Amino acid sequence: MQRPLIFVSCGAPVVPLLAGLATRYVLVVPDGGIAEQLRAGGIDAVPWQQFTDPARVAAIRERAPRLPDALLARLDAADVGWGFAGRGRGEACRNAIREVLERTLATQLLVGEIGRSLAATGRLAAVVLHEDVTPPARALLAATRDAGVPSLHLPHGVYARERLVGADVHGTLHADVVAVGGCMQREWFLSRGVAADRIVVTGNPAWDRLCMLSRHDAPPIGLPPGPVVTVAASWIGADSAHRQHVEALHDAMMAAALDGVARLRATVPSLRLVLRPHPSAPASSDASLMTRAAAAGAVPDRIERGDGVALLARSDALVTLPSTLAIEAILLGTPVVAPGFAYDGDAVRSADRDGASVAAALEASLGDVGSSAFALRCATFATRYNGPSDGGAGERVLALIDALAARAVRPGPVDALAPARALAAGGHWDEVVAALQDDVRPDALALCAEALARLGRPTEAEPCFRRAVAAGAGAEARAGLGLLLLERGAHAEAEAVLAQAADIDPSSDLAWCGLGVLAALRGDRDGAVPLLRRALAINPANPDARGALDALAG
Amino acid sequence: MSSRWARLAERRATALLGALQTPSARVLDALGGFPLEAASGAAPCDVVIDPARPEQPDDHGARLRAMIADCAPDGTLALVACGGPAQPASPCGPRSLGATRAILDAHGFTVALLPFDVLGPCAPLRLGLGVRRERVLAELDAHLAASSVRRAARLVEAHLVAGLAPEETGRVLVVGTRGRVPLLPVPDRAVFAAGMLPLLHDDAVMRWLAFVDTELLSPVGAGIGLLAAMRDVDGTAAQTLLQARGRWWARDLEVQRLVEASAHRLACRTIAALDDPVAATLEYELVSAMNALANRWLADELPPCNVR
Repeated sequence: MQRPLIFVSCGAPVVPLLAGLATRYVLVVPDGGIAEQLRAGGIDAVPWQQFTDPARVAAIRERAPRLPDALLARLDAADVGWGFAGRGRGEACRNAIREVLERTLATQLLVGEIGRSLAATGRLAAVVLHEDVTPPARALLAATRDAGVPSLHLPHGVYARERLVGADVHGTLHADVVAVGGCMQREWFLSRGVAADRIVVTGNPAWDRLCMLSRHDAPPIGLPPGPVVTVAASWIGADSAHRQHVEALHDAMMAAALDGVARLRATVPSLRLVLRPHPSAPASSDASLMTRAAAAGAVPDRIERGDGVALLARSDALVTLPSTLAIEAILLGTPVVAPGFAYDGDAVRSADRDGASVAAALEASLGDVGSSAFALRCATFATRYNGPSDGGAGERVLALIDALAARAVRPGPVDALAPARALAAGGHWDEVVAALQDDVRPDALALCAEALARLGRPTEAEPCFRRAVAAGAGAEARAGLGLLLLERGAHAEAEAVLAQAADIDPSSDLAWCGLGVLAALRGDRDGAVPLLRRALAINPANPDARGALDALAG
Repeated sequence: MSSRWARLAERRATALLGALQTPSARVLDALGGFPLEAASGAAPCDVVIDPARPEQPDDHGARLRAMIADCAPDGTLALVACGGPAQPASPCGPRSLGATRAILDAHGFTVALLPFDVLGPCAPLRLGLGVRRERVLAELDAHLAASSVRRAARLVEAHLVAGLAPEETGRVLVVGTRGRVPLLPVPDRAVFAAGMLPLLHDDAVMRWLAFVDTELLSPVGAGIGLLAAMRDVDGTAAQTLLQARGRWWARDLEVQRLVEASAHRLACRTIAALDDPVAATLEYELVSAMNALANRWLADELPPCNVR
């Protein structure tokens, strides 16, 4: 019995689950490199394209470039009113849509095909994603849902109440079920119309480690004595709505944070400042961040892109904009100041967007560390944002995945032949044998026999070929059997079987090649050369025909 | 069952006419008219009201002359005429504003007008929708299911539409008098702004405004800059309002919300028009593309804003 497959994206909340999942499932991941890394770490993983039929992929690649024009024609015929800010914007919108279609459609079709191929194996138990809104995730979900494969979304991030209900891509749940960190996320999804029975509070597996870590166990970060304040910078995507405003707002918050540190340093000279750039920001932006801090009078002691957990645990306060860092810090018992943003509860101190407010909040926060009142506020906050926060989120999510997988719609008899052919095209002969071991259809037996032959198992391959021929397989099976017989010296039978193959399918290069080699072995050079040339004419890449001809010429 | 917008407009018409009614007023019988109870004040009456719907074909000229006959020398007449482009007078057709005014002028009445129902049957905005009309009006109705959106729509009607020219709207309240001109409700931008501010932080209203901007106003180049208008909000009041909800306000926040809603709407309309299962998976990319476009347009067309 083969182990079921499970598709996993490898974002922050999913990564801690991989080892546990691998004990029950073969992991399917969206990248060959990731699969290799996981296998190197002893985790059984395969890249998601492994089960696709190359012929179908080729057909998609051939078809995809024609699709944008067809879709745009549909768009032109539709009754869309393209307008914005008092003006018609038809042409600009159309050009932007064309660009999106041309850039993405081929990938979307391909991912859809990957999803269908995975589902067609009959082994795909579930799809687990840390993000269910990106186009590839949507295409995979659409394809696998059609086949009854359940899916789970494990969100990561602060789901801020400020986002517009009904106009936010994250406001729709595309997976079947979402495993949320705490009741804040649960309420967020409920307010967007997601049914309660599709939302399960598990906690975020990415934060299990933080729940179990004591601040004092974190490795030191090597700063001179003095309270440590970390200021975390944000990063804004180029395509945020009204980016100019969002960027200006973030700049104002950052300026307030740095000014606040500078003001506090006036009374606490030993205050250490660490800048934490956003992971998505390029390293090249670090220098300007340092300069900016210095210009604000808050010369940083360090800029730190390394171990974020150690940094948060060893900080005496964190100043951050809306970010998961705030939740991580509170889980570690580190006070947080948020300029111009309010988290639920009173664990995070909000401050106005000015240096004096931030300084006052920071000063109060430095007194929070270690206090029982603050610990209580942190515990309440943790519950709101991360459920039980007991380090068991991963186990709860694994149990949820198993429950979902158990309710997967199992297809009836699965046609394993197409995915097996795809595996054969990729040279995965072991998996071809595994996929077809119980399949008694003529073509399946023939492909299984070929795989056994390629794996150097002729004693198993020969009876398998014979069963294929007996079951009605065509020229391919006979050619395969003939070549095996030729290799083990049963020349008479080989010649008869190869001749049958050539009769049934005159375009079988294997059959003509085998017959040519037999003629050569008999010493019939004149008979062998035209047979081998015929094989090469059909398939110029046939190495045996080429080798035999070269040998005869020599 | 009439649409929500029609019911909204009907209530407005009824309220406007009803506000002019006095105990001794005469209210004409009008089959299928605005629901004002008929009243048979003795002629000559200080107020005569015709609740007939202006789009309903009738001999409106004859009805108006009968009203004039019943009206006291210093009395007042009130009725609703069609807005929109001028209609030729006809003996039995809709009630045109031009023909109504001509009769009132001829009888020495001073006329006051109050345009309303910007999406009424004769409104240019509605007529300009063309093939999109059915879908757009259906969507408008869906937006109006939210009470906050209906509140916003009433504010728009009372304070913005009332300030438009009659030909830009679907209906016009016509008040004629030979005495003292009665006071009609006056559009007040300050009242409008104060009423709209909390509604701008209601997500249903913001989605409705994005619909109005992208689907009604902008495609016809109406030139009404909702985005620019968002900058007129009273920052102090907005700050107070949001802080009570545990949120912070910054200049241009309302602009940002409208851009977000508009870009999302354009993306969703694209997906609906493409009507293709693969295109349906592209919401994220299309929203990003529309945001990028909107950012470019904002940079080109709106002056920069200091958020502090």
